[in-house]
Amino acid sequence: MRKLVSKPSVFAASIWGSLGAYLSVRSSFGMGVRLISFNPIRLLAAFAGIAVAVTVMFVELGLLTGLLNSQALMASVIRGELVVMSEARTHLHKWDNMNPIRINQITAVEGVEEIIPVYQRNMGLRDPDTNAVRRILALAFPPEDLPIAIGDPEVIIQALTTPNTILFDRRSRPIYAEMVIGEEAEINDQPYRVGGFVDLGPDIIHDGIVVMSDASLFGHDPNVRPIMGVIRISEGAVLEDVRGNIVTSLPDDISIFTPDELHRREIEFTLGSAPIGFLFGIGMLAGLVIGSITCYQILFNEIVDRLRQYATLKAMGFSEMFLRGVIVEQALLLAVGGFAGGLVFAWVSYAYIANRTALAVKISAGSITFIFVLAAGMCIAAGLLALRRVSAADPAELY
Amino acid sequence: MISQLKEVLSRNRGCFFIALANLTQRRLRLLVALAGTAVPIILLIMQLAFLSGARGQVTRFYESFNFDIAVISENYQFLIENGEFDRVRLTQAKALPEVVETFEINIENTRWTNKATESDFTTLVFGLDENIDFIADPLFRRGLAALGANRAILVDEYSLEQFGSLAIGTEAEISGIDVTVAEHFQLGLFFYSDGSTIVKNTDYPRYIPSNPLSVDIGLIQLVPNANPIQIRDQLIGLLPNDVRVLTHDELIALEQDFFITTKPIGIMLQTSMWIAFLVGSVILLQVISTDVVNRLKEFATLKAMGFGPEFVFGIGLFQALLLASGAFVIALIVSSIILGIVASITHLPTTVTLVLAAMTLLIVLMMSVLAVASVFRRISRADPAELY
Repeated sequence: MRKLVSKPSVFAASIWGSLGAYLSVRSSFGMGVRLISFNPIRLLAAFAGIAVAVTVMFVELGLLTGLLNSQALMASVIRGELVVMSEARTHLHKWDNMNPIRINQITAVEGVEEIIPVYQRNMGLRDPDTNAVRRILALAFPPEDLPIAIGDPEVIIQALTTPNTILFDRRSRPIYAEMVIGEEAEINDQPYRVGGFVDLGPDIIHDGIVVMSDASLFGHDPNVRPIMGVIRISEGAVLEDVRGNIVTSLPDDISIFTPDELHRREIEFTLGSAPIGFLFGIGMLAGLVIGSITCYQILFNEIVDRLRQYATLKAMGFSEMFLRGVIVEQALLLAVGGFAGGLVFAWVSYAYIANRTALAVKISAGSITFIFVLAAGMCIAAGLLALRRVSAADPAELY
Repeated sequence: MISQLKEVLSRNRGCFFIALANLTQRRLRLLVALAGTAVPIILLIMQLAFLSGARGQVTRFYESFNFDIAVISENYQFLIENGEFDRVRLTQAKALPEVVETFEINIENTRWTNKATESDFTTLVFGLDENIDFIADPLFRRGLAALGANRAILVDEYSLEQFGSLAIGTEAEISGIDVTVAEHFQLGLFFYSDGSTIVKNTDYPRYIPSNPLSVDIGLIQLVPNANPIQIRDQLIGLLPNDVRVLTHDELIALEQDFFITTKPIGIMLQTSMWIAFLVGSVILLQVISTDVVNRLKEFATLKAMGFGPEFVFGIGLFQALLLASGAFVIALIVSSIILGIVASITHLPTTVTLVLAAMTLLIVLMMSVLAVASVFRRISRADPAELY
């Protein structure tokens, strides 16, 4: 206290406008720290409260984004500039195939370097120990170049060029028998050789994935048609020109997207049309509301409990700006401390959910920023609102 | 003991009125406190209802049938991944005099084509026997009666919107084969497929190439007054171990358990519920204790004036209970509205059941008592002189 009063800049602040405000905040620095660390148990309780609020925000946000990203996973691993698929395939979990002739037609379009067709089919993988057959999604493409980023291209292509070889997605749910490289796996009652592993991950419908060459899939079903085509454009070609060329020279039974557009479309579909998106969307909203209210509540109580001290400071002549500085500092400190705790809880919860569901539940820079801004914003708003009671209060009345 | 309690209560009747006066002294403040308390309760009710709704949904199909015992493959995982077993097992089961009748169900996910838009979706095809005694659901009954020949099918009204017009007489394709909609039923299994359809078992192989000697799920009805658990044990002894025999309740429990512990949506809903429970309780504690702490000085004054501890504690307790019950009523109304909207969009049975409401109320009241107890410790330690 003594040290603060001895600083004349505090008094000058109210006169010097914005510069003054900056200075006053600076000169009050350290006071907030002392205020909140006065009672360590109370500080811990406040940290814990905010941490709980931050955790619920992270978990609800993570569940929704994990769901959305897993459903749109295919769009985020495309290795190409454009994706083409049947016009009827309005989201990635539909099975509308393309007319195979479209692949050849697109090859001939100016500006197209190459197009890689991708095939998919549900198959049954037999567990040799229990004899149980589990459904698994088979993805296939010509083993010349990888249309999707699922691991080291050279290794994968090398493995796939051996006929009747499959690569198993190591992120598949643990309902399948253990795959051993070089051993046999029985799919749709036919033997395949396990040639290695890829990294992709299941979604809410499919539990696992195997990758094979298109020729291996044709062996099962000679009439299987491509589900999509991944397009690479020639060097120097302009993306929009190539897209325009394809659209004008082909019939309108296909849709064409950049991978980003496809990703966005899938997320919009899951959020807007799928009941599951709605269910978890509501959950996330509830989580954000309750998290924000809690941050607000905790900070409000922190300030209200020290109302008398603030009123005293005010009566002593400290400016409004100075008090605001102290409160913003406290709010930020509590927000940072609580957020750090919440982040740890959230990380543990995410690890648990990701482990159990095999979905892409991850903490991203975006979600960290979003939730921190929300938590800190609520803390500061609550603090400043509580301070209004100081301005309104008559110091004499407080005693 | 009871007379003692009565005496304590009558001596402290004033508590209730003081608590009421405390709460209603400032209207705006009361509103804020009610809202703050209601929000965590809403979250709690919603997440509990989501989870119980999902649990109900995954067994809605099974609950459409009357049966005492189910026979499933040893490879059975859940409704859709059910393995299959030799139909002879059901004939073998009939060797027991208590087994009256058996019923076969076949299930497979396949392709539905909306002919108007030429667009493909996934659909579950359920193949059912025609024995109407096994059907509990009135819509299933009505539908099965309407299933004539000529590739007639029943379709789920709650299928994805893009399935197209599902009016009676609409033509569509299942696995590329022409079908006509004969009637509707209501299921809404969006966790597992875009939609569902029902056909007779005699028509089922037309759409789903399968082994005619095997069946996916077998249901058994027993003579009246038979003990299902006893018969189940006898059947387990009688049948080879390539099948599992479960009672009705065991099948329902198995199905819900699989969804909640293995399917990602179930795991996510359950995690959400636990987080809501944890956070809701903590926040409830916080909000209620703040409301009581705000009167700390008054409580200390009363104590200094010589009022007994149970009197002061009684005021706090009544204040907390009144606040919590008020907030609970508000939360119940608000969450019923939200859940009504969710139910109408998702067709999940997310209604607030009596059990669910009672469970939430219990949690809320427990948190109120805890909150007051924690505050009361501060009151008993506080020196009135220090508070001023």
